[in-house]
Amino acid sequence: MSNPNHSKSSQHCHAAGNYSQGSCGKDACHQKANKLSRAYLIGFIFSIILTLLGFFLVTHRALEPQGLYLSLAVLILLQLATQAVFFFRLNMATDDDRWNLVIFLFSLLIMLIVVSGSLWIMYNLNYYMVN
Amino acid sequence: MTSCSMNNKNHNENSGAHGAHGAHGAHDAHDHEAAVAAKVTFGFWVYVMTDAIMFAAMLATYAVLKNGTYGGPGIQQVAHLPHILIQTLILTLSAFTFGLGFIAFLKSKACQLRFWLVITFILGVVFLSIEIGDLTSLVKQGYSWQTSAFLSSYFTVLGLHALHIMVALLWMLVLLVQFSCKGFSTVMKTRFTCLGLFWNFLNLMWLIIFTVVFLIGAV
Amino acid sequence: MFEQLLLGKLTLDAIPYQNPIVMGATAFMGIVALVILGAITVTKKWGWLWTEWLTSVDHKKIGIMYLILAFIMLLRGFSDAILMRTQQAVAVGSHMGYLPPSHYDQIFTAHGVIMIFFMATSFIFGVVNIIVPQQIGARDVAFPYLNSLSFWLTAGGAGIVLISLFIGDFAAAGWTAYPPLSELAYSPGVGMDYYLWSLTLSGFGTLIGGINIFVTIIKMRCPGMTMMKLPLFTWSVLCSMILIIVSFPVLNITLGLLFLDRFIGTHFFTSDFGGNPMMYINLFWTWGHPEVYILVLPAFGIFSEVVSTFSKKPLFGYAAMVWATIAITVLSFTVWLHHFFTMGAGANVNAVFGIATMIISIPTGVKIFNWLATMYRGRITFATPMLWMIAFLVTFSVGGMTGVMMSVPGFDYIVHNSVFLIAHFHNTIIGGVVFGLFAGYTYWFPKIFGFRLNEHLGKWAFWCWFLGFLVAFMPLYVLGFMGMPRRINHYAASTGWHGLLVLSCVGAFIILAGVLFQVAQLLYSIKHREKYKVGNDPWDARTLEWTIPSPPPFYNFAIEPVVSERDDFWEQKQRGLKAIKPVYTDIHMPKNTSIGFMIGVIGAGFGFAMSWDMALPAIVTGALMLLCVVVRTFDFNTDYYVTAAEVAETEAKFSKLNGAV
Repeated sequence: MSNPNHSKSSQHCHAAGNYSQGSCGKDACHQKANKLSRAYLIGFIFSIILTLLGFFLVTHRALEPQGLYLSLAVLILLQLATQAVFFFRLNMATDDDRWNLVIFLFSLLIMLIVVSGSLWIMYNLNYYMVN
Repeated sequence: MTSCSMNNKNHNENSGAHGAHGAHGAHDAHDHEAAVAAKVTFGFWVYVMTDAIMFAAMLATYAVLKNGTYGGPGIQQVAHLPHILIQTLILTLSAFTFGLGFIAFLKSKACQLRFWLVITFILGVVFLSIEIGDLTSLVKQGYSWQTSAFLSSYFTVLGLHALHIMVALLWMLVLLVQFSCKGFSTVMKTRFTCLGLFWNFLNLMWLIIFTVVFLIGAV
Repeated sequence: MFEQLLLGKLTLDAIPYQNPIVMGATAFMGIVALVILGAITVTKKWGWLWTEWLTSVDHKKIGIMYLILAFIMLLRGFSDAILMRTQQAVAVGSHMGYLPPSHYDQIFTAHGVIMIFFMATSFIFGVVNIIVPQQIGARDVAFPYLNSLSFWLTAGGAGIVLISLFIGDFAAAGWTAYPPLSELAYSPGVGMDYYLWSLTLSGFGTLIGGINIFVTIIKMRCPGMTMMKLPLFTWSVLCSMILIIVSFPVLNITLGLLFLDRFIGTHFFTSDFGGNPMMYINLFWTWGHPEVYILVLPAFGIFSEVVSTFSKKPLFGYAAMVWATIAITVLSFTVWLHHFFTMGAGANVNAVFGIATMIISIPTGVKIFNWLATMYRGRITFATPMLWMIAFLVTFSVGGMTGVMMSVPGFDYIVHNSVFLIAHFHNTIIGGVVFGLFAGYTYWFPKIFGFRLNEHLGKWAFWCWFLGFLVAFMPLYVLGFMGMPRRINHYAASTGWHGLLVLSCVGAFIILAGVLFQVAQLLYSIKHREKYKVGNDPWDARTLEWTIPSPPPFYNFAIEPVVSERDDFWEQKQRGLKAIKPVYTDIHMPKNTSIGFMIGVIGAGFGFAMSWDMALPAIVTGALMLLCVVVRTFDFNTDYYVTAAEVAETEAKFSKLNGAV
């Protein structure tokens, strides 16, 4: 399928799993690929369950509005964690991985400040200036 | 077969004699490739974070303006929840199928790689069709982004996400073509890794939109 | 029909024939451009320009191009300042001055946009691009092609602003472009669209540049250079780039939404149909406050370098300085409401943001005391960079203090949008950012170009700038207390503001003298560059960039440095440098590319076409930009090796030119 003249490394592939770029032998490579496919499968199933759970909680009005808001908040946090762990494969193994995680968490912090700050300010402005 | 590599004719003055790599050449080339790949993946991850912040600001705008319906329809009138659920499940499935494609790359299985990529592409197109269909019917009913602040935000949040999906789909096509030239090389692995990060990111963004716009809207 | 698709709203009427000031400025710009283009043609340097500069991906050359852009835009922005000061000095009572309000509004808008986005940001990226890779022992930035792209997108944005002078108008809604004034209903002209497109282009350029430098510092440090051994300039730049990365997306989406309001009739920020103009203001300042720290942190970093070099002492309290910088970075995201205290929030919201604003002054204060402590018992040389440093300490402290005054919401209610505010931010931006960039310019000029700047003229320039600044801006504090609002082009004689405004105008002309001295200094130094030649280390400095020749070879370091401590070069000098026989290896370098240049230029065309509703050109340029991006990804042959022999040859040439280390 692939043109052997162009592919430099068709005989051995590089490390799987944590998107780290070290090379590995054929067997180790396949092991890592299998570990990855397990992670993707678990992540996929978790994600579907969390999605359906949220959907049916809301459409069947299973809780009071307050309870629904709380559950949805928890569910989206769990979705975030699922994506982070099983798809983005964030972990603390190597130096590189730790930098990825730090950047992710810092961006989350900024988003939290920007969104909650904006909502508080705009709600406050609305209260004092419109109503 | 498309011409895959283009020689860049503009060298700077010291490009003189290329390549006598010396005894350590092959190793250096490999290490160099690995270092470049690490930088590119890291840099792309940082870019994904900036995209996330942009989406967060957009969603904050949506949250602020969602009650600005100006007498027109609100979220509960325009959202078609069953379609939204199907869209969500399709996109999550597509993230999984992309993952399977990536694993096929790691196992050097070209046919499987192409298969799962095409499946992912099709799922992405289906996702977009449902969304475009829903939004078009809204416009036909007379409710467009010009009708109210709420509808402006609604169309723009979904539109921003859809635009990113379109870019990702184009990227998928480009990679399929480039894979025919460069095969299971480090550079292709890096590109598939980055596309994977982007596709998973878009899936996550959709899950957040699904929750914040549609589920909270339906409470 | 075809003409409509091709030209949109563009007609010959767009050129302001009746306005003598504009036509005069256009003529001046045109003559300068023709002279430069003519000179290049006569000396047959087009090929050289293309291969050596326009398509270069060398971080040093890109940095120099950023510096040139910054200098051009400084002249443009400063002309706006002179225009405004002279207008305000004469337009009292029955005199209306020479600038009608519509023109005056464009001038203060352009002044802000140019100075912040195209002067300060370009100047910073210039210095950062050239120096940071050298300070960490790297040979280039992480993504050389993207570096070129960033520059050309910024230049494209600047091009749109320059064109706005003679085709159409510029925006007249202030550099902050608040809706509803910036919406289509109240700014129907093309000026606001120019604003949006120039900032969108340069905004993406800056964002990509921020990512680039960030990855460079994290991933390309030489062996032994741990984070806590980084020079303070690199640390400050790292934090500034982090701020760019997290804040510019907010600006991009905000301007994008305003664009949608104008272009497809959405209602995000309109005052009707459920829109909320305050959301624009909220989002704008969510970006806007980090932006000022993006500008000032690199300046703080430059001061750290300058003060330790010219006091011959290590920086006092390195760890405290690093943590103070990190604290400023995080805290800068918690204060943005102080830009709109007066716009309707309740007391508790105002109080929280007021207190946060006070808190952020603390790490800045820590830094000031650490700089002073560095100077204490040092052996100080009063070279020009050090003069800028000392002027900064005095000036910025005043500006910072007036900032803390305004952080009290009650006080801010009195002076918000008065010229007190103008004085405060010019105080901190000129005293902090501009003085810092001038310090960096005079400090690193010998490294970049291989010859030093004339000190005498440098000192004249410094004193004119410093005294001129004081004379121009201190009166504005007083005028602010007297109730003078900002952005006015005329006032009554009974206000009593006239005298101080004349004084302020005099100050602006003293600053002009300073600028002229800087031009003279540059020209004189270039003329006498053989006499002013320098070696590696003209200042007897501390960091890695001073270990390589001036100017450095294109690959920077022939042998990758290995460091073991902070200020490693200085410590080695104290122990006595040992001459080691160098063993050269092949070096991997990136190839030039024209794609960055093309995307930038086509992007400017796209922005222009979109502003004038020129459908066909817009579609074509937009498609071309996308095509360039995709075509570039098919280029797998983007770097090459410099052989060890070539490196040896280049190094031998340099040591012959430079003599000893």
